[in-house]
Parts: sequence; structure tokens; C-alpha cells
Amino acid sequence: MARRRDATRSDGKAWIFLSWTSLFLILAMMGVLGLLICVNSFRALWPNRIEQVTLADGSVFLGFPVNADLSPEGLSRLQYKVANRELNSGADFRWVYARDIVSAARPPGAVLVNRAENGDFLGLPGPGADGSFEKPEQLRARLRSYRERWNAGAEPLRRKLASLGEDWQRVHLSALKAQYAMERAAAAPAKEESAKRLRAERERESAVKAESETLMGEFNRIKNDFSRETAVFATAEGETVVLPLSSIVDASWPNAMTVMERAGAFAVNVWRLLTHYPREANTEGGIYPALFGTVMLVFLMAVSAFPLGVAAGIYLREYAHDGILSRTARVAVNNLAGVPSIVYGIFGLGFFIYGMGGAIDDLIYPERVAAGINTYGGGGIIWSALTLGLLTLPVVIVATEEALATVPSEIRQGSLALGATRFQTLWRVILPMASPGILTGFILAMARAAGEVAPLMLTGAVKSAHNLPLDGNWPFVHLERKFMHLGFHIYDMGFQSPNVEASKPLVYLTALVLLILVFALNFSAITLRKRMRDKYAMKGF
Amino acid sequence: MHITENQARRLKKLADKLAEWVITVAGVTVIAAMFAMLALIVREAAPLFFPATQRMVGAVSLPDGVAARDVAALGVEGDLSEKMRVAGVILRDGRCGFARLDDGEPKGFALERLPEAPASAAILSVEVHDNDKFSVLWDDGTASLYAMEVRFPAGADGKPAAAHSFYPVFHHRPDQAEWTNSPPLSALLRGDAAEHRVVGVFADGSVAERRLAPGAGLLGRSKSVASQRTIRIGRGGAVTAAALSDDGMLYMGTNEGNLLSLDLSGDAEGEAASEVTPVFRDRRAISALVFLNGGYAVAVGDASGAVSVWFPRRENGEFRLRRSVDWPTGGGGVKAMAVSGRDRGLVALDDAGRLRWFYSTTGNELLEIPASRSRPELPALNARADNLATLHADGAIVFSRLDSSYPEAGWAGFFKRLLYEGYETAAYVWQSTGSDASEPKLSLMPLVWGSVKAAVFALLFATPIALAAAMYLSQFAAPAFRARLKPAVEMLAAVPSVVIGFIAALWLAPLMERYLRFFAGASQYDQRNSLVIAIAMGFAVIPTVFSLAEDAISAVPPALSAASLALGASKWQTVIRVVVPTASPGIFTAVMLGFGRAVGETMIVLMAAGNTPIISLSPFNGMRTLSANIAVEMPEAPVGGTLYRTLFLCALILFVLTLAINTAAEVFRHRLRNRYGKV
Amino acid sequence: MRNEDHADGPIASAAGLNFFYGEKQALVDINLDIARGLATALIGPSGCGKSTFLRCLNRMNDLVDGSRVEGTLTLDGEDINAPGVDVIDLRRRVGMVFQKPNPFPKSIYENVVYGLRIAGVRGRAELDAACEHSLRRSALWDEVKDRLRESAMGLSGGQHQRLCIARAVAVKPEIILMDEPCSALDPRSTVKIEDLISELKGDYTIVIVTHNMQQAARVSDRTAFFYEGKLMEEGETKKLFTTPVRKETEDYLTGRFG
Repeated sequence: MARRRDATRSDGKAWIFLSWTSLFLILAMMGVLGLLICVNSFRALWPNRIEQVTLADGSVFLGFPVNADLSPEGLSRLQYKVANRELNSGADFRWVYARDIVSAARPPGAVLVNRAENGDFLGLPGPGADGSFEKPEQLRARLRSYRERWNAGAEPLRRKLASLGEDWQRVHLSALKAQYAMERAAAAPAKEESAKRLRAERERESAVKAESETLMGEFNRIKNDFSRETAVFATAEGETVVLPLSSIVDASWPNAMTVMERAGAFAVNVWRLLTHYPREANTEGGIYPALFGTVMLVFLMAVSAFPLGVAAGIYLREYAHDGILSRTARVAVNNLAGVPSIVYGIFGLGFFIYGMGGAIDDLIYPERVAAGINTYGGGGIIWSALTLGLLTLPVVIVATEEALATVPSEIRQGSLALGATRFQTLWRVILPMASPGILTGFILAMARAAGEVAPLMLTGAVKSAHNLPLDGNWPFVHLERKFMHLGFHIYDMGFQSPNVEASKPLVYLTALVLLILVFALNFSAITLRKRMRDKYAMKGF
Repeated sequence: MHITENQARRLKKLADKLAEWVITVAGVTVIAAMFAMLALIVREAAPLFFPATQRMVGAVSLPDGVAARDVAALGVEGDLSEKMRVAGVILRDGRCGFARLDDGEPKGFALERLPEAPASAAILSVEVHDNDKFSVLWDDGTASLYAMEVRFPAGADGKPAAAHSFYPVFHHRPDQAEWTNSPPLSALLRGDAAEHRVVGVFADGSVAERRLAPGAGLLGRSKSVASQRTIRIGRGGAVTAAALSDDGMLYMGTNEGNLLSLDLSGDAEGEAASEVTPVFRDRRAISALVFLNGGYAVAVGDASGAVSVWFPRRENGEFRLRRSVDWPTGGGGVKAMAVSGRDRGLVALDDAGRLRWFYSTTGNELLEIPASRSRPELPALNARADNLATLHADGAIVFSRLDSSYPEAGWAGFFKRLLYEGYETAAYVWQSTGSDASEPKLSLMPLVWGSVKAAVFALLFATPIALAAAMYLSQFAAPAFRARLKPAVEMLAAVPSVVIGFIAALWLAPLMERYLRFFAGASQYDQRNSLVIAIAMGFAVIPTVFSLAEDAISAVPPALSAASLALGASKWQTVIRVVVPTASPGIFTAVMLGFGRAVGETMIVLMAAGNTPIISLSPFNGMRTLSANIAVEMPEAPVGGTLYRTLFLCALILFVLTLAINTAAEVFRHRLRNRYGKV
Repeated sequence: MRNEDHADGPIASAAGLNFFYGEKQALVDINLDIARGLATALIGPSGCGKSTFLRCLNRMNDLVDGSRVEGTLTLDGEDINAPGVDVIDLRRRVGMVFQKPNPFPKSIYENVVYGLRIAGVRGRAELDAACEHSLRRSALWDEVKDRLRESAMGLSGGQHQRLCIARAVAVKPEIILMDEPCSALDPRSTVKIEDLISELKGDYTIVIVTHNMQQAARVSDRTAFFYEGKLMEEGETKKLFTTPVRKETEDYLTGRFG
């Protein structure tokens, strides 16, 4: 009898259930994380319906419902995004108590205008040029024609002005160089030559400036003409608002959209997210530069870490004598894999930026140093890439070593017995066999590094960079430029932004894009490993 | 093109050699780079602990006929160039001159009367403040304020040359009999664009204050009296020394060991708060008094040769003077002191001729400046506290270079509990943004505490969950289930910590605040606190612990479980009593590696921990870790400065900490392997 | 290089050969001639040094740290351990087949022509011809001629070993060393390999290490018996097996120790 009781007590069903719960808890937390990000991202991109809310005190406003919770006193309240920043003295969100809401309607004519400045605008259709209410198709047609005319008439000018600006920058730096050389020239003839060059550069500078000033004048005139074209709206409170067409990025009527139309708008929003630049201090617009910067960074990092890491792994495994030096090296590599990323960041700052960068600047651009301009002596994408490369090196080295170890020694011996040199054996037999392991380890390391932000904060990631490190201006690749990065963007928007509430949707979206990127890298690593294993591995043993 | 067999063979050999060379170079470079990383961090951090040094640069003798005792005051010019040193000398007879040391060579020393000096008056006393301002009290009752300054008029060769002078800021002759008949002990003059002020301190403890309106006139130096008052404290003994801060706080030391304080900052006609504080129980006399940089704390030199630092603290609602540091000595009484204009350093000279350099915040004696020749009589420091000039009994002015680049650092600065200016008790404080007003506080203890606390909380959350899940998956789940779920959990490791951090800060923290604020009760509740970190960072660390623990548990030979089951034990009993204990070294390793990962985590703590460097056990408070500190402070730290190097020290501590943890984990892992070898 | 060119004299010869793995001496004063064009079997109990001697012939022992050779070992009259000797070339001239078949994870074609590619041969025609020739000589052509481009991993164990033999043969070595080539194979494959050896031995000199005395008796022309690092006895196989001179040889052959 006693034995029976023991059995039931000690088969631990309850405890087993509890440990199952732990597993479930982990998955649930992951699910919550994923769900939060996906749902919030979706809501940020899917066109939401505009509500017209009437309160008990008679006031009316237009807004998107974004949040609902309990106030500290326990009353139910709702948060609306009311936009119209400049009309609400800077606040584009407001809270209202549920009990104060008399009615909430969805007027089909409510319009959402994305603007180039001041964020979104919510309004109702206003009278058109002929006095009657402007219909959506009319406004859309007008906007379309405006865009076409702008692109034909003003846009080329704007682009020319931008490129003139770049030219001026370049000439200015050349002038600086000539001036510096002249000041330091010891002999008279050298001084004379530098002075001549300086004069030439200064002339070019003024020529460019003059040209750009004339163009600017013309551009401003055209802009003025264009800015006369306006659209009139009314706010829910009854105010009339005139918006110049030049400030309107897009206008939509979400309450009147069908599901198909909304899906279309959703797709357009996704497109804009990935290809447009941010606006309004990173609270509007897209994340294109951050996406570009992240991809380019990962690429540069791969290029710098992969050859070196694999070479070091091969060296340790195949060429180094098994003495105290190689053993210390292996211990060092293993331990360095566990060092916090911020330590790499601070090393990157001290060695790459202030050390190497400073030396490069002193050597190649002394005139800029004298003027207080940092080229390589400050943060830049190359330094960030090298720092992250250093971070991934230990992982790549260990992966290489372990992959090389999986190659059976008979294979190696077989190749050598046929008269192959060590290098031929390595290149033709061993590396192909080890490549799944090496590549997988490498891609996983890259995926991990793609998500690292801490070292980038010190080595060149910035909140806003209009120029990309790769563009159409000579020398096309600008490794010294600062860059934007998805992870850093999240940190900056969520914590350094003056308007965190408005940035939230973009933060979720950026997180989603980053997650997709990281998981794509992981997934490709795993598929690659599988594919290469099938091709090269030993089967049938 | 057909190459011969021999050529092919040679090419083959060449390729082999080249490959070997390239790979070896790459391999060695990479490995060297890893060591270089450690070396650089150590190199940047090490100077923080270097001791202070001093080096004599040269000496200039007083002109013939002038002896050391004729000198009333000494001031030293800041570095104009590496090569030039200049010291200004004011003689008792009213003459002044500049001792110049150019590239080690003493230059001529011309004496002339102080500009605008009252005719045929001699100097009674001079007070030096701000390193280069001199309040001169003449025996005819005039008080003058001079500033030592340098101009660069073009010299004979057209090149600008340095010209030093004592610039008269303003003069005042109080028309009061008591002033002229029995002159004050000392006159303290302060002048800026807004106001000129003259404070005369008398030996009987009375204080005469004159405020002057900056007048009209070409240089605005006329002296019409705007207000005046005389205050008498009348107890505590005879005044022996006095010091006045820029915001009007006057301290006077007496021969009975009392410190009299008088608040002259308020309305010129009103009451001035006064206080008498006995500072020495043995009532030994105070011989020198000077304000430290910042005008808050005051250094007291006494007759026993000891120097102590005092500042007012709030106690029971009132401000009371409390001693923060104490440097006793056995020599004669403190004769004179000079203070740094840039940090809380000071130099004190005693009757025995000992010249010592102190730093107040850390309580360190930085250096005892060795006596080179005859006894030093008077010290002077420049504002940057790297140039010292001393007047010696034999009439020589000796120039020395002082170097203590990082006085706020060092063992005491980083790891000792210090009593900072204005604080109630000694504490560990990190407040790097120091200014003149508030001294920089560089204690690393709050940061180390933060790192450890964050890691401990994270592991408290992660370990039971990860271990239970690992145990379940390894021992109780069907193999197909395990094959699917294990990679799924490990996928969590791929999530960037910045994403976890922002969800924790923007979604989890407000949610937790709503429900948990109640539990905090009266104590302070930070929205971003240790509980948020426990969940967020714990979540990030779970895959590390889970993966390694699962491997360890699965590696236990099934023969052991079989034996246990064959003896009639249930599956649960087998797992708990046999499998897990056998796997325990591996499990322990897993937890340790998780701890190492947590200690180094930066983004999550940066976003979700509140970033306040405090030492607290409460789970409702936030923290700042070493890693977050580096990320936050580095962008603003001037290169090569104390903060910059301190951040490298933080990195070094992190490096060493994670190294120790990982090495210990590796050792355990080896032991685990050996153990299974026997089994 | 055909063996008819040097019709006289042994192809390889060891004189006073001593071999050390660090401190341990594995071969003691070996004096042995390997006859040209014949199959010589090396037999003896485990650890007697026969495999070590085999690996001296193509200097594969060089890959072991701490190995040291003393004495002379010549191939075609030249000392193969002399300084300046091209080990890579030696290994082409002295081929090896291992105990555990070790084909590369490449196609069958690429396995066979591997030795030629690394020697610099590039012409397609030349490689194709060599491939077919080697596979025919290794009795594998008919089985794989339609799937030369498929992975070698898809073959059976016995086919793997024949592929390794084909691979070794493709570079036209003077000697083929075989280190217990059948011990990892099933009896049917073993028979096939033994037939192969008998066929190859006219054109190539074969040195085979085996612990299977019956195999040695079947396949070899001459036999050398190793015991504890020393060469005990060597001679015509039939004579050694029926009338061994040394007592140790007789004890081994009769199975008193093995």
C-alpha cells in the first residue's frame, strides 16, 4: 500500500508539466515579441480609418485611434493621433476619456495628407477653385499634374544645384589643400606654384558659387510659381487650411477605400518605407538610408573578416606547429569570442579612428586637419566595418578550425600520397569539404554582427546622414562617410528623439526590417549548409 | 602554350610556398591583432594609475640687494610655451618684477614700482587668489587689486613678444579712521565687470565690507562707494587667516582653532549670517586658509602642520562645516598654500620647509616635492596646476613642472568611498560631468554594481526557465519534437538585442509599471528598473543557457538512465536524481557562460535600465552598467582626458571579467570531458 | 616509365634502415630488396613495423612529428631520404592505397584524374584517355562508364577501393604500395581486389602489407616476415610458407602468435 503511494508521489507529473511550461513560456515570449512587432508594423502601414470624434463638451476632432488603456484612476481612456502638429501647438497625440465621447463617425470624405513638413494633416474636403467641394479625383488629378510639371521644370534644377553643391565642396577642399601647401612651402618657386594653384581654385570656387547662385535664383522663382498652387481643406473644428501643393507628399481618403484599394496603399507604403529617406527628424518617411547602410556595412565587414578569419583558421590548423604559441593563440581566440561588443567598439575608436584614422589624415589631408575637419580621423563606415569584422573574427576562426577538423585524415593522406603539395591538397580537397562548415559559421557570425549596435555608436553610425557611402559622385565609394544603420536607428528614434510617440510606428517597422534581414541571413546559412553538405560531404559511411 | 614538366613542377612548388607565406602572414597578423586589442586598452587605461611627478626646470635669482624676506607675494604665469616660465614678484617696498626663465636660461629681472601705487607707501599684506590676482594692502590705507597678465606687443624685430605686467584693476582708499589707524590684517579685493568689492578683515574678528559701483571714466575704475558695512563676530579668538569665495562666503581662521564664517553674499545692508565652528579639539591655531577651486570647500592649514579640508553640509536642516579630508604631518605649522585653478588640488608649505601636493576629492597626497636647496618660503601655482614656482630662503625662485594628469582617478578615486563636497556621508558616486562648481566624481563602484546586479537579475529569471526547458526537451520530449523545438529556441539567439531592448523599454516597462507600482509602496519606483532588465536580458540570455544545458543533459550516457529505470525508479526520479546531477558541471558551465554574456550586454541595459548609476538592492530601481556607461559617455569624452581613459578602464574591467568567467567555464568543461572519459 | 627499361636490379632497396618515432625505434636495421615487377607481401604480427616500412617507401612517415630515418632507402638506385629530394615527385612515383578506402567527395572522373591534374596535366583528351585506361586496369570501367560524372560517394565499399587503385594507377607510378587494402571489405570485394593485384603486378611493382597469410600466399611472389621491428626472413613466397628458415616465422605461420 505504502509503495503505491510513493509511486504516485514520485512520478513527478506535476514537475514534468512545470518544465513543459517553461519551454512553452519561452516560445510564448518569442511569439509575443514577434506578434508585437508584426501587429504594430502592420498597423503602421495599413491605411487606418479616420474617426471624427465628438466630445461631451461639443468639441470635435479627427484622429486615428492608436491606444487604449486605464488611467491611473481606473478610468478607461483612448489615445488618438490627431496630427495637424502646427495647429495643436506641437502635440499630435491626445488622450480622451471614453466616457466623454458622445459619438465617433467615419466621414467618407476625411482626408489624410502626408506632408513634407509638420507631419500628417487630417481634414475634411474644402472648397475647390470653383467654390464647390473639391472631389478626391479632382485633387488627385491636380496632384498628378503638379508632380509631372515639377519633375519636368524644377526637379532637374534642384538636382543640378545639389551636384553644384558637391562640386563646391570638392573645390573648397582643393583650395584648402593649395593654401596649406603655399603656407608651408619653403622655397620660393614652390610657393609661387602653390599660390597659382590657390588662385585657380579660388576662381573655380567663385565660379561655382556664382553659377549656383544664379541657378538658385531661378529655382526659387520657379518654386514660388509652383507654390501658388494650393489645395484647401477644412479641419474638424471648422478652420480652413490652405496647403501648398508643394508640401503635399500624398493625399488619401482611407474611409472611402475598398479592401483592394487599401491593400494597394499598403503595398505603396511598404515600397515607400524601403526606398524613401526619413523626414521630420526620423518620425516620418522611410528608412532607405538605414537599410542601405546596414547592407553595405555587412558587406564590408564580410569582405574584411572572411579572408582573414579563414586564413587564420587554416594557419592554426594546418601550418602552425603545435607549440605553446599556437595553443595560446587558440585560447586567445576562444576567449575573445566572449568579449562584450562594446569593448571592440572602444578599441575601434581608440585604434582605428584616433590611431589609424588620425595618422591617415595627418599624412594625406594635413590641410583639413589644420582646418579642424576630420576625414578618416572621425567615425566612418570603414571603421565600423573593421571593428565589426574584428568582432566576428574569433567566431570565423573557430568555425574554420572546427570545419577543417571534420575532414578525415585519410582524405588528406590520400591526396598527399598522390603527389599533391600541401596547398594543392588544401585547395582542391580539404577546403571544398570544409566549406559548408566554414561558410555556415561565417554567415551566422555575420547575422549576429548585423544586429550589433553598441560598437557602431562609437565608430560612425549617426542619426541622420543624407549622403550615402556609395553614390554617383567620384570616387563613388566613400568609406570615410558616416552612415545610418537599422539597429542604431531603432535606438535613436526610440530614445533620443524629441517625439518618441510619433516615432513609435517607425521604430516597430525598422525592427521588423532588421529582423527580416537577420533571419534571412540565418536562413540562407542553414540552406547553404544543407546544400553544400549534400554536395561535398561523405555519404554512405 | 605548353609548359614543360619541369616548369609545371616548379610552378607547383612556388604556389605552395606562396600560399604558405600568405596564410602564415594572415594568421599571425590576425592573432597579433587580438593581443594588440588588449594591449591598446591597457595602454590607454594605465596612465590613470601613474603617480604624480615633478621635475625642476630651472632657477632665477632675485636681483642684488633683494632678499627672500623682502618678497610679499609670488605668482606664476601659465605656460605660454614649453620653453618659457615667468613668475611675478611683489616686494614689500612696493616694487614688482618678473623672473623669466627662457629655455632654461634665466633672463634679466627688472624691478619697478607697481603701477599706480600710492606714493612712498609700503605693502602691509598681499592676498593671492585665482592664481593671478593680488589684493594689496598699503600702509597708507589704500587697497589695490592687481591682475598679473601678459600682452603681445610687436617687438623690435616685428615679431610679437610676451610682455608681462601687473595690471591695476582698481584701488580704494577707505576714508575711515579705523581703517588707517589700525589697519586690517588683510584686505581681500574682488572685482569684475559688475561690481568691485573690498573686504577688510581685522584681527579682532570684525569685518569691514565696501561695495563699489564701477564708475564712469575711461577705464571704469573709479571708486564711488555704493554700500558699506562693518560686522563684528567678537568671539572665537584672534583671526589669523582669511579667505573669500567668489560668491561672497568669507571664512576666517583663529588662533584658538575656530573657523568663523560670514555670508556676505546677500543684500549689502542686511544681516550677514555668521557661524563659529570649532575645528580642532585641541584648539591649535589655524595658520593658513584658502578656498579650493569651485569656491565651496576650504583648505585649513594649522599650527601642527596639518592640512584639512572643510565644507558646509546640510545637517538637521542647517549647514554645518564638516571635515572631509585630513593630512597630518609632524613638521612645523603650515606657512602658505596655493591652489589649482582647474581641479581640487593644492600645494601646502610648512615651517619645516616641507612642500606637499594634495588632491582633496580622493584625499590623496600626490607628491612631496623634494627640497632642492635652501628652505622654500613661498609657493605659487598656475591655474592649470602644472607650473610651480617656489621662493627659497637664499633668494632663488625655482621653477618646477608638475604632472598629475589624472588626479581624480587612481585607486581611491575609483574604488574608495569618498566624502564629496556637499554630500551628507561618504558614498560611491559616478558623476562624470564635473565642472568648477561640482567636482568630478569617478567612482566605478556603482557601475560594477550595476553590471553585476543586472547579470544576477537576468540569470535569476533565465536559469530556471532555460534549465527546465532544456531538461524537458532532452529527457521527456519525443525525439521528433526535440528535433524541431531545439533549433526553434536557438533561433532566439539570432534576435538582435536592440530589438529586445526597445520592446522592453517602450512596451514592457510601462506595462509593468501599471501593475507593479503598487508593490513598491513608499519606496521609489523607476519605470525602467531591475525587474524589466531581469525579464528582457534574461530573455536574451536564455538561448545561451538553454543550448549548453541541453547539450550537457543529452550527453549523459543513456546507460545511466537505463540502470536507474531498471531499478524501478520513475522517469522523473531518474532525471532528477541521476541525469541532472551527472550533467551538473555542464549545466554550471552553461549558467556561467550565460552570466558572462549578461555582464557584457550593452543595448538592453542602455535602453531599459534607466541609466542612473546608483547602488541599490531594490528591484524597483534602475542601474547603469559598465558597458552602458561606455556607450553613453564616450561620444562626449575629450580624447586623452581623464574620462576618456576611465572609459578604457571600464572596458578593461569588462574584458577581464568576461575573460575570467569564460576561462573558468572552459576549465569546467574540460573537467566534464575527463569525467565522462572515465564513465 | 615501364619497368622493362631497367630490367635488372631491384626497384627499391633498404640498407641498414632504422626508423624512429621520437624515442621509440620502430624499425631495426632493415636490409631488404624489392624485386621489380613482382608482388612482395609484408607479413607479421600487429606492431611489427611492416606498415611503418611501407610508409617509409613513399615518405608518408614525414607527416608524423618526431619521425626520424637512419640508413639508406633507394628507389632506382637513388637515396630517397637524401637532402634535396623532391618528396612530391617521389609520391607520384610511389603510389599508395590505404586500408580504409578514401575516395574524394568528387565525381568518379575527378577522383581518377586528380593525380594528373595536380601534376599539371590539363588536356581533356589526355585526361579522358588516362581515366578510361586506369578504370579498365582496375576492373571498374564497365561498372561506372556511364556515370563518370556522378559522385564517387554513391559507390559500394569494394568499388571505392578499386576506385582508389584506379586513382593511384592513373599517375603511372613505378611502385604501388597497399596497406591492408582488403581488411575493410567484404569477401566478394576482397576476391576482386586480389584478382586485380595479380593482374597489375606485371606492369607495376606491388608491395602489399597484409595480416592475412592466405592472402599473402595467394597474391604475392615474394614475402618478407617482420617481427618486432626487425626483418626476420625474406624470400620466395612458396618457399617461405612451406619451409620457413626461422623459428619465429614458423611460429607465426602456424598461428602460435598473430
